[in-house]
Amino acid sequence: MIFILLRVLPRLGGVLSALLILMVLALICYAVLARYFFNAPLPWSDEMLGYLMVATAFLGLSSVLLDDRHIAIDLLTPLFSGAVQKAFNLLGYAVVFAVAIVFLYASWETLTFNRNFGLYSVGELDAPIWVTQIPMALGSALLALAAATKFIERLLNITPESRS
Amino acid sequence: TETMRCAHQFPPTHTVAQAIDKWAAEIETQSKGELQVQIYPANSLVSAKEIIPAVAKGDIECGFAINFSWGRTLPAMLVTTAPFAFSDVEVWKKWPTSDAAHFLEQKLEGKGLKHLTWMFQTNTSVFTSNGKYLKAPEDFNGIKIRGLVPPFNAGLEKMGASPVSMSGGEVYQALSTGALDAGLTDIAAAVSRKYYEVQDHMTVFPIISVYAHGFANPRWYSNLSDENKQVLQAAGLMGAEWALELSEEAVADAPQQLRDKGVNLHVATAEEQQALSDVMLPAFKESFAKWAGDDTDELIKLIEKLQ
Amino acid sequence: MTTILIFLGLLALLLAGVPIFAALAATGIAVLAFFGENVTAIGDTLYATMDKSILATIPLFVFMAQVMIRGHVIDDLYQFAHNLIGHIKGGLGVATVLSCTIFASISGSSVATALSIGSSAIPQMVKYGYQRKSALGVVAAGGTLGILIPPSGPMILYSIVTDASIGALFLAGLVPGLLVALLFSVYCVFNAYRGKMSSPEYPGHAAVLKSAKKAFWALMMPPFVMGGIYLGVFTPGEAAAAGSLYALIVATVIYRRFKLKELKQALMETMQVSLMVFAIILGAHIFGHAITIIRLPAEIAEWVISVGFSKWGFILMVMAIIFVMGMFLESIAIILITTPILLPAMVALDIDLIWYGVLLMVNLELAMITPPVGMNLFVIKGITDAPLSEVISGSVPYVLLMLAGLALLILIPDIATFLPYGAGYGQ
Ligand code: NA
Ligand code: NA
Repeated sequence: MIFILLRVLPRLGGVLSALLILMVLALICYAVLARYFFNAPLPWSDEMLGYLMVATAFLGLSSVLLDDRHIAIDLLTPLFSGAVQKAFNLLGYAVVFAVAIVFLYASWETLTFNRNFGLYSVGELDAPIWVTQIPMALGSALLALAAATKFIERLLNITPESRS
Repeated sequence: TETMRCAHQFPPTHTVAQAIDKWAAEIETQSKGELQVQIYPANSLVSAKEIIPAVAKGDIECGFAINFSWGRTLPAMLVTTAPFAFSDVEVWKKWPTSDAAHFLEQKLEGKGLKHLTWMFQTNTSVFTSNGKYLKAPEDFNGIKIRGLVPPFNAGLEKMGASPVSMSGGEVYQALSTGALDAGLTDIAAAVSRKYYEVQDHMTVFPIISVYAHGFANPRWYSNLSDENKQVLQAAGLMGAEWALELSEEAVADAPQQLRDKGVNLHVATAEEQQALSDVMLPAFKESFAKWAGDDTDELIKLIEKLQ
Repeated sequence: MTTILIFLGLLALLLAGVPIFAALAATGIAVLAFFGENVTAIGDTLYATMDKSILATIPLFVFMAQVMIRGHVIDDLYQFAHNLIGHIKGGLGVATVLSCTIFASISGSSVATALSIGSSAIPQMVKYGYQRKSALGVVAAGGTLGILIPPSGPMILYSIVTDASIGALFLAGLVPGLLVALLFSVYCVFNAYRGKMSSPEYPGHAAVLKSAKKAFWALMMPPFVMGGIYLGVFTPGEAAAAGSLYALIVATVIYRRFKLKELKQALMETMQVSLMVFAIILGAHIFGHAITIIRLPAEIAEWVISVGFSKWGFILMVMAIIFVMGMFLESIAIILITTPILLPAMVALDIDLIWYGVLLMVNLELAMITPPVGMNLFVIKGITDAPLSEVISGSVPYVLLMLAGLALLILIPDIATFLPYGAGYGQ
């Protein structure tokens, strides 16, 4: 049960990220239409795309990790015995976890600083930057959660089959 | 010795980048090597948007920003994008020691940054276009032009133009293919970025002023010796002069260079400037007031004293 | 010394199988901590890295290719090439190269190209007497054209790091890409005259016309997307969006092979593929930030100047290093690690960034088929279950051909640069 719960949140991040890609597609198509057919270019689309890319990139990281699809070099590891391979796997998830925690900490510090500093975007949206950085912290937290889940599952030799 | 890491966004050949290099060398000489300045140009360490928070936080000791990169974070810095308010270069010669500059330096301190130097970039802009000059407000009706900051864009929109947001690298191609009808750039950049290859008409307007300014992390600054603080003060004033000189050189050669490349170049008359100003300035002021609040009134008065 | 330690640390993590993005980020963070820098500074780096509208082109080009694959539009492309030239001697090999070339100009990725052509082309070639290893080799190598012939995800990344124009880079890759495709085709024909393979019968003009009709909308895609960029209708980002829309319309309305289920699959796959890339971009930027703050690139630039390298000496040295890195590393990581380090030196030596970009792409194409780590080798192994050694030995001739192409581009930079500069792109 707990593992299902731990997996649902990161998955949700992946779905959100995929939907954001669809939104990016829609926004660009709308901007092109506005420019050519209504002669009214959107002055804010470029800026908005930047924020959407930040959200897309961070929210989905965890989902990709759950499927073990982050690119790694599996050149040496297959040469070792099962136990050593397991140790390498655990090391991998541990490093991802540590990195995710630093991402989370740095994102949090950055967004609270920018909030107190009152940093705004320069473009038409006038966005408070810290708000656009929330997905960065959220995505890092999900990544940490996913890495912890994978680590524990590997440690206890839980496979998707044995879980369900 | 103290190491001072300075990030900026200008490519090494830009006049401001050259002024910064001279300024850095001056600091090292005057401090007899006690202050070591490491320059990271062209966004190589911190990207333009992140320089302000990076210095404020103390990730690096020093950075440079263009005035309009402050946006609503410190709107007073945008005051020189008011159409035609800063057309006289004499204003800029008096600027670094003026009350108006001091006012902005204090605003900066309020934001948690220590001012170091003012580096003037340009007050000579060109509107670039194809087939006809953009010199009267009605010429702008219906054209797609690369936008600047929202209050300035409000002035463009008042004339019927559509400001488009676009990253700098894409502008050349957009102009060449007609995705943009017109550009606004400083005249030296019209040469260095080869806009003359894709635009055949240009009108020179002293419409906005652009400056970069250097600032330091205040906690780092306060730990410096008094001698080193004085070095930074003196070098800051010298840097401001160098930037102005380098910019004037670049601006002086530009019109002939553009004409040599076959550009139809028109220098806007006083009447043409006035006509544009009459339409754009009220729209700018209205939009700017929404942004900036009332403290800019005082700044505008101080600036009027300079003229 | 520090430099060596940093790179050894990174290498150790990579070889231990730690995901590349995490290995890069962890090394960067360790460097920052060791030198007493502010680790929270990476918050700004992470944000600035992704806060770029141009990055939207990556998922959109991936999505476009995904829709084409899942709508089975690619099968028609291959069928057309097969009918058109399959009957000439060596024609099946040439047809494979041709369909790789066409698909390369739809997809921004080499893996996608090898993947989508491989499953139809390999069985056909084997059926007509091609040695299996040559069949595997031609697809592995033909697939690599995906990043040289525009659009190209790696070129987009390179342009983000160097600020070189994407439009100019895309245009610069076109002729070299066709040149490499030509080299491959010539080799296929040459091979056919030595070997015992046969060719299918010519199916007749009617069949060729019929398959051309079926493939028409897919064939129109490259001119629509790339033409849109060069006629100035679209920016590259907009072209990717318009291309995705085009692919969606073709696959759903015209081919009727694309339903909600396929859309969902295509979207999730796009998300995963894009995020693998984005993750490495993030990791590489943290690593890059860390080594920049300890002034490694500046020191390398100073060293290059003090040694007095010529432009050519420098290019040869860098190409050799990247070739070796390409044997072990994955191309996105190579671009993002090496480019920022080398950029100051390239500027100092006045090296044309568009030209270098194309050299880099050809070298990265090589990386995809050089053992032990080559993405296209793995893809072909994955879809055929052939032993890796067989895929590798089949690819060897193509490695040599690409090296010849690379040498040609180094000797005659105009092959790459005449199109973009002729079209008016500034430097
Ligand atoms: Na491609
Ligand atoms: Na390789």
